[in-house]
Amino acid sequence: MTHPPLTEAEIQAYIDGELDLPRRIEVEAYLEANPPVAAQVMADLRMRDALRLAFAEDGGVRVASYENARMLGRAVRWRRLTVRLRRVAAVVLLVGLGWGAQSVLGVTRIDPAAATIPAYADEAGDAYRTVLYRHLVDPAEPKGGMPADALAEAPITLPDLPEGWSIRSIEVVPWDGGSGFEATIDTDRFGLVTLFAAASDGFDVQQPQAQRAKDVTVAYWQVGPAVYALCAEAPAADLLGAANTLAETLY
Amino acid sequence: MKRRKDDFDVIAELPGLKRYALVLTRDAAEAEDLLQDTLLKAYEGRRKWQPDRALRPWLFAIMHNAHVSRLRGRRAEDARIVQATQFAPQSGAPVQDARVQLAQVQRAMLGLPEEQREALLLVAVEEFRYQEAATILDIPIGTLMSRLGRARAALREAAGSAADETATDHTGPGGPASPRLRLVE
Repeated sequence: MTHPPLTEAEIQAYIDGELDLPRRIEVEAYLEANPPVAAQVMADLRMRDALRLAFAEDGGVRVASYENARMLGRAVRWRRLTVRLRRVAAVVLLVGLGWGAQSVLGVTRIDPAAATIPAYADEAGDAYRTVLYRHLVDPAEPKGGMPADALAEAPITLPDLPEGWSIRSIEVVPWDGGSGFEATIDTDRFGLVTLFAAASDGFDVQQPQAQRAKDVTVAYWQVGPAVYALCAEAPAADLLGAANTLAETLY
Repeated sequence: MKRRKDDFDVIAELPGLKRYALVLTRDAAEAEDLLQDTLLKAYEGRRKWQPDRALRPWLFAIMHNAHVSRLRGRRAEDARIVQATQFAPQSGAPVQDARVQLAQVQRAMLGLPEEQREALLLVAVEEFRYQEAATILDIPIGTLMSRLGRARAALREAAGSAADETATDHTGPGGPASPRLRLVE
């Protein structure tokens, strides 16, 4: 009945659940034969459990921390999604080709006089022209895209759509700040519109503003890290009204 | 959009992070500041996080580093008075023996040197594996274990005056043998 003496480190590893089963049995046999050491182990276990219970009481977390944690959670999910998307390189490449088409077609950019327009809104406007062009060539376009549940993984909240608006397709599109989503929507008022949504690096809250460039109007706004751009062939005032309605559903 | 319950739920990690912050700072207001700091640093560093890494140890490591750099900023405040009672469980009748004991253990733990109490919290309360805790603290496993050992010995000593002295002769069974580490994995 001789057991090899145990070291302090092994007893500790036993307490902390770091030992495998055969070694646990050895330790327990040793403790059985050495009541004073066993009593010490029980004292350590008691203190561990007491600490767990004592610290179990909620220390109280400020609301701001919850908000920050929510924001971080979204960023982390977003990161997971984009990393996964990068692995599906082919998909992104195809979208990228479609995206590049507008430069080949020599589509006019937003009026330089309106230089204050954010990059995402500018790019969303260009992308909208690409969509319009595809639609002109083939009225069935755009179609397909990613399944709507894939969006549930994204950190972006899409606004609730009003009556008479229905999503035709959702695609992942690259932009300066990474990847975003572009939803093409059939509407009763404006015909075909696109809603661009992406997570930006910044954090801001901006009410919708509308910019018109030639025949295309872009209404854009920001909620926290998320930026949105609604694009349509419509008067700026009308589209701004629609953008306000959408933005209100995000709060 | 519906809220998904998944491994990347930062809100679920808040209580654990708050506990760690309390143990590091021993001050409720400081702890909340440290928590904020940690969340912001994590947000800023989110591109460094790899989705195949667990979120929890990553957040704890950020808090550890945030605390270290905050400390560096003000060594002068070293002699902080332990006000454990500030956040020790107090509600309910103070005559309850079990609750008093809990508060005593917690106070003794908060009285330990910082490196010992953070090691003990991560392993004993937050249930990190030795390897994870050592990574969070950026120390070798052996160092972690000796800090744990010293922390536990100190707690036993603190409790010992009241309890039976049964175990004191056997803190090192087999004499001061050099620690042989036999860890799983």
